[in-house]
Amino acid sequence: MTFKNENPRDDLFKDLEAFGETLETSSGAQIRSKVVHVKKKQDDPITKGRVRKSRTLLVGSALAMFAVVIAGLTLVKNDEAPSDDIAHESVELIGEASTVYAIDGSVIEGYVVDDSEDEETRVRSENAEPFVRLVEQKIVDDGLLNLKGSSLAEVLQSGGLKIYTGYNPDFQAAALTSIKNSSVPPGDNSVDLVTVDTETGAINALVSRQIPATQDASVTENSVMEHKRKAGDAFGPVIYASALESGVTSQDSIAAGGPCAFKTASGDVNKLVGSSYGPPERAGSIGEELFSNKCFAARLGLFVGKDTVSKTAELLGLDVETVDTVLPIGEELIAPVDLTGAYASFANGGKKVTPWMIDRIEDPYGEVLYEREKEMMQILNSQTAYEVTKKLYDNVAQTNGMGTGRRAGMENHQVAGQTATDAQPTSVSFAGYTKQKATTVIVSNDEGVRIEIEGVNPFGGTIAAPLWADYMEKIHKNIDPIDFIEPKPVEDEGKLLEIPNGVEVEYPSTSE
Amino acid sequence: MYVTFETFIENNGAQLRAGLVAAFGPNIGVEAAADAMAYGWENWDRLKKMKNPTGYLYRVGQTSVRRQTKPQGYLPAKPVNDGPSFEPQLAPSLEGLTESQRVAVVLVHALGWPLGEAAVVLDISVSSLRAHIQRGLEKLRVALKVDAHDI
Repeated sequence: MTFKNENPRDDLFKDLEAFGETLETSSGAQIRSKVVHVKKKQDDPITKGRVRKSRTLLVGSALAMFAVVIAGLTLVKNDEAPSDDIAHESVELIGEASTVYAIDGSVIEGYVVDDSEDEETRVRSENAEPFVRLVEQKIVDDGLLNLKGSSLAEVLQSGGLKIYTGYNPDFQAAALTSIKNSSVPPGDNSVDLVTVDTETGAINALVSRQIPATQDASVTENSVMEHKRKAGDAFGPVIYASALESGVTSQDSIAAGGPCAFKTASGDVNKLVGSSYGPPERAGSIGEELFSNKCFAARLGLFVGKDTVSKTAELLGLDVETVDTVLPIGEELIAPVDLTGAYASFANGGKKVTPWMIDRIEDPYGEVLYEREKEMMQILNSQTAYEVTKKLYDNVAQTNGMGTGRRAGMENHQVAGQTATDAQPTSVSFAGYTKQKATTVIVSNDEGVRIEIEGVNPFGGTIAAPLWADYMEKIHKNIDPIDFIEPKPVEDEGKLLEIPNGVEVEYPSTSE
Repeated sequence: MYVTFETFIENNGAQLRAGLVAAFGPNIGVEAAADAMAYGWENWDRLKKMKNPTGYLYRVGQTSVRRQTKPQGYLPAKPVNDGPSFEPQLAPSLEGLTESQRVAVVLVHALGWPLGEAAVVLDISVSSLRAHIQRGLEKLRVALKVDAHDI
């Protein structure tokens, strides 16, 4: 007969306890709870075997720590409201928990993850938790409420507020499932995803740093909104829109082709991949070129001018962080949610789409404490928006027999979109849209090393695009297809665009 | 309700520090705790009316490090001062968890805090804490290739 150990402590827990001791020693004060293992508590599988004996030691060490804090700082009592209490309206605590609503009017359960409910409710609430945390953060960061000296948690738990959001539980679940089932291996890789409604700007789904093969996304990190990255080729549509708004037409051609090199602001020579299409002395019409042809994008940007491109980017809501380059070619740092909003503007005929999480906040009596700006300005000519869309559509549909986004194609919906792949690559992405929904998917290696997937060459088109399509098919299941329609066809024979002299330098030989 | 900040710190300072050290390691965590306590001292008139000033200050500390780039190896990877030894890959594996999972696992299983107290410090529900612990332990087991015996 074999006797079962009544209190089997596996190595992980022993290691964690030893680690806790080290952590305490390293931090220089008592931070562990005084615990003793006696017997398992059957009603609590996590804390079984642990009973707290005493916390007497904590008091002295905490006082010592406070003394250190006071000694190291010159502090002034501050009776002014702290910075996160900037406000529109006041909030009265009335002792009733607040409610967060999804865009379909359903209550988001994620405010408190409740595992006592049925499985479906528990999963939905777990899925929503990261989004709700970001809603909380947004309220504080943007000062949407006057907290009147209370913490946000207090106000939400006792304020009886109604917070209406753009969250779509089905979209969020689809995102988590598509990422979980994607070809991206876990390890150091993570996925960011954001979906914006092209009509309203509502952020319907948002996933920050989900580990593939799990449904585990970060609750506290908001990389979709806060982590700016190089947009790469996905910035091409902004350059193209700038050119079209400046009087260039899709029939025009650039009077240069082939590989190219430019000096950066710091004087280094930046070599770019040249055009693979068209004769070397002259590329084809700009309407036929791909944004993944970096020399095309660079030369077009050079023709239009960096300032003009920057202004267009600003109009599109891109909070661009400039970098050391004389060219507008995708070195700029942009947050994924802003890029998605800009693409949504292309889908929406050139109206500015500003992504939002919170539509409005009401107090318990129905008075509106906060409401988002709903006006959508026409920032681009509708023809410009269409031309950009057509080019991105061609990139997916391979109308010209080429395109990097073909794996993002959907069965019944027209898709416009652009891939981006950084140098190693450590990050690949696909940003695209149907007429109704814009989504960006970014797959990154968090350790900054090359993404490796067995049997796949790592590119935006091979990794991010299929994931994007899988997710978009799911969320469009109940959405009727609407095609991209040209507002007013333009007849134009095209002209030759001469780029300014003295910026492009001789392409270095391979021995250099 | 605490009358003085000193009383509050006597009773809750260690938990606050434990939470931030569990999340960000001894160096960054201690600094964040100092920032949070300094903020608490400055704003005590307001904080003392709150139901959970510890949780509020935890978030203050969390915010103070949120935008910082955490260096690799911010958790101690080996014992100090002849302490008990542990798996060398444990610290890197913990750093691979999300912040919520890491702080939950370390507070409850490394530092021995009861669930209820850990949840108060982190200003989340016990059920949320449980979910983070469960996910964190699962990921640790995969990373360290150890089997579960008693969870």
